[in-house]
Amino acid sequence: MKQVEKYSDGYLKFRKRQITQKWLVRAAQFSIFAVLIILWEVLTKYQVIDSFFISSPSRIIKAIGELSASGELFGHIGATLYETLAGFAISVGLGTIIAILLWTSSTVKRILEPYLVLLNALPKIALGPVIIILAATQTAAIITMCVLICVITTIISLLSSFINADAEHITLLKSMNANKAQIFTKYVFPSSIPNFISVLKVNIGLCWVGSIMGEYLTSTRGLGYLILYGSQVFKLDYVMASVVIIAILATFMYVLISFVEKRVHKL
Amino acid sequence: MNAKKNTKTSAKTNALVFKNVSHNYYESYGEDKVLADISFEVKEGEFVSIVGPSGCGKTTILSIASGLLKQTGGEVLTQEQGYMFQKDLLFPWRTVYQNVILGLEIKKILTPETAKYADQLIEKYGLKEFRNAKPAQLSGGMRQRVALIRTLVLKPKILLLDEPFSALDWGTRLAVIDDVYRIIKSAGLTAMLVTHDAEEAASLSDKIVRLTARPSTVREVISLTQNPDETPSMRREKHEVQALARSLNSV
Ligand SMILES: Nc1ncnc2c1ncn2[C@@H]1O[C@H](COP(=O)(O)OP(=O)(O)OP(=O)(O)O)[C@@H](O)[C@H]1O
Ligand SMILES: [Mg+2]
Repeated sequence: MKQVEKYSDGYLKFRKRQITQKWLVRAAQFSIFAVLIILWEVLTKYQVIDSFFISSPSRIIKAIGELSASGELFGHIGATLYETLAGFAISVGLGTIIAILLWTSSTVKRILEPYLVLLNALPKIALGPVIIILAATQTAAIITMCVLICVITTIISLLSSFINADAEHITLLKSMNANKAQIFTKYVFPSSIPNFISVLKVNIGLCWVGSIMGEYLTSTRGLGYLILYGSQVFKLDYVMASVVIIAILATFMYVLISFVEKRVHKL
Repeated sequence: MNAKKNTKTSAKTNALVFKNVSHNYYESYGEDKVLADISFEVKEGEFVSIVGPSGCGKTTILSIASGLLKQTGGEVLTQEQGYMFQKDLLFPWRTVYQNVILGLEIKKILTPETAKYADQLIEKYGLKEFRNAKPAQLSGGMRQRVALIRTLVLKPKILLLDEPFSALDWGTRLAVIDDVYRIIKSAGLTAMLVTHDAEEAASLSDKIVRLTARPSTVREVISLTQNPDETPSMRREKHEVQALARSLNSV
């Protein structure tokens, strides 16, 4: 409800302080960023540190310019984005479906529990070489890598929030003769949405790990490949340019999910 | 509690019958004997309270009456029932209206007619301006009223009430009880209430089923004659009601 009448002096002071605080934080954040970039640029310019090894802001911008002029860059970005997003979509979809199946049958869940624990403990990257041999294409291998990294935690996390859905609400639905599908769609899933969104956040991060690691292992395309290539031919500008682009893209995706989260909270 | 205008309770047919019902919960560590031998009848339109020591199986009786639980022994005759719990159990992401029609959705009987009935009940019980509000915006008493409407919209024959007032603070509680009682009586519903409050049982009931400790049996069935012109909170002031409550509280 919107207040129409005038606010009290105390409240106006409080708001003023709040807003000042907010701008102070923003200004400090931006200053730190600017100082770091300028320091980096100046120190490399006057050879205090060697720009050959750690590049410099201007060299990174130049490298991005070169790579995009030759058209190469967008191919790399596209390849990595495709792998990351496909891995993300498949791991979320598959993980959700499996979590639902395990929630539906407690017997199956009990049978499979030790395997879930085992797979969860295993560092999936150890399977990298095997996946590369088995998968039909490089892209398929990398996507599989992403899926393997996220799917088990997705299953475990979603399943635990499904199982912990409030028993009394479920009893209420049962007293209305709800079937299992209705219990799931009307209550169990909606009440798990906050957890579902945090799963999305974790998964998008892990899929970036999967796609970059996958490209290190087996690829001739993508930002991970560009990093590996740059480091092998000592073009550290390429390495840093890729890292900057990955940071921007990954942050953008994370922010996008946070935005969706805020919208859901308002519902 | 005198016997005038005692029309509602005079209906002869049974709405709910428990006949030598027993129930054991099966656990890995053994059998938990809760109900030993429970028999009672609830007539149509009657308001029956179940009282007894903590953990004696009152909720178990309601679960069996509602069909949520199958008794391990004995016979139960029941009708279409609606269940009201201690907590309102409203879904926080649904509006008042959407909460009210939950059961209609589940039973796949959400039609223009039933939706209209839902809105009529919302209006009748004074929640019209909160129709599109979320439960978080309502007071405890209003939330419990929404929970009641959610049950009533399914047109149950019997209302099963498991301490639905105990989560409310005292002032609200008396008002909500009067409110719910009036709604139940004016709709001619049969009700079975579980309560820990002896005065509540004495001021609402046409019949009180008093249980022993677990494994429980029926200790006594007390029939009362209530004056339909009095509200439950008025009855609480009367010394017969208070005396009965005291005797229910004594061991
Ligand atoms: N699902 C269940 N599985 C196993 N034991 C149960 C279950 N539900 C209840 N019990 C046991 O049965 C006994 C009776 O429980 P019930 O909830 O019916 O009692 P109650 O009279 O409603 O108790 P209260 O006065 O605390 O509400 C308790 O000892 C409880 O531990
Ligand atoms: Mg109980």
